[in-house]
Amino acid sequence: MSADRFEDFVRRAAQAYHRPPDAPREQMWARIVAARAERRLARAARPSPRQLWIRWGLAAAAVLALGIGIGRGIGPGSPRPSGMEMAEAPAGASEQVPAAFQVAARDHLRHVETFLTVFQYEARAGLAADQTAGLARNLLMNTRLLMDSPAGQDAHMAALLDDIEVMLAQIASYAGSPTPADLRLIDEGIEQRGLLLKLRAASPAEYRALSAQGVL
Amino acid sequence: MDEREVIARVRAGDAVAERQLYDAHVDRIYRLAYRLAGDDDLAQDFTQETFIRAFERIEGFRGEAAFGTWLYAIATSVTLNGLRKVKRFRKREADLDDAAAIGALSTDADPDLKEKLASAVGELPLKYRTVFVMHDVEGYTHEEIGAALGVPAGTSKAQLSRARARLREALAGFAGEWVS
Repeated sequence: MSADRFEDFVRRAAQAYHRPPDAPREQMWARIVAARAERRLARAARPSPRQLWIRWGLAAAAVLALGIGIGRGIGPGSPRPSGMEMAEAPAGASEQVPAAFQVAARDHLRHVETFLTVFQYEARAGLAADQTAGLARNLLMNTRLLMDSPAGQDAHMAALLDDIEVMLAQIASYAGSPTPADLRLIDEGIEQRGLLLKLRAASPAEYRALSAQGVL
Repeated sequence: MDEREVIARVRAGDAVAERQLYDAHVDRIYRLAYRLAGDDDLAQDFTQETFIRAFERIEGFRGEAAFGTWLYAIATSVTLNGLRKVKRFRKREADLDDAAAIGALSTDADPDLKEKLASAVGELPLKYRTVFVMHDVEGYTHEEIGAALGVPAGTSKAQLSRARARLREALAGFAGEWVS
């Protein structure tokens, strides 16, 4: 058997191997343009490391101040423990900072819940508010800060923050003029994830009542 | 218009030039992706990703090689990485092909040499299959293949030789077809 003949034969026969159809040029080009625009938006929405540090620092300071404020507000009713009492307290009893993060997280979840409720209403009414994407970006940034904070170490909270991040990223990506189909898709996404229910479940009723009264 | 000029305009953010560059190369990129993937959706995904990366990285194109060569390097990288990601799926598919081929050979009920060839090509290791498809099917030179895969042209030749040897072995039962 001749090697040349085999090569010729294989070349001819292999032309039928995964024979491609005509390239769907327009279809692919439209997707390329859309994907690039989406990636640009995602990059723009992502804060720079410097911004992240500054904002994280400010957020941490605010949360700590809030925690201290809460501690002082509760303080007068309970005398400050002595050194001996503190030493004898069980491990994990001193949880002022994590508690402060929890408060900050609940506060954030309440904002997200309000935003998504309004967004759903507007989406269903066919309204597309100009500031929606901007608000979503701000909330997205705070969500990511929380994800990286001690509050995000709780598995339940982390899962919820993950869900929130996905939905906010989608809303933030439609910065221009989202079509009714885009809005419907996001609305369906919120429903499918049961996000509003989860958010409501994550905020205890007494906390919501206190928040509504301006106590927190 | 000279391609270098088009590239300069793309770097300056000219969307029309981007489309020109796309039109000039998309068919060959898609063909290669399709030949390697054997699936239209995957081929489209790989082609799209190739151009997205090319436009993102065009500042890094120094013009030492032809633009096409640079683009094929991105395309092969995207396609091969993509195919590795769907390797489990492909392996399952190949296993099914194996089973079908074994059954067919044992009963001598599959006289279609082209089908057997397609199956044998599909069973080649990815690096051999890539070189075989690029050279024997799509007509790339060993220099182009070497540049795209980041290997010397000699390596491309050696891999093609091994790919053909495996195919010859797989098609031994059909020797009469090409000898005659």
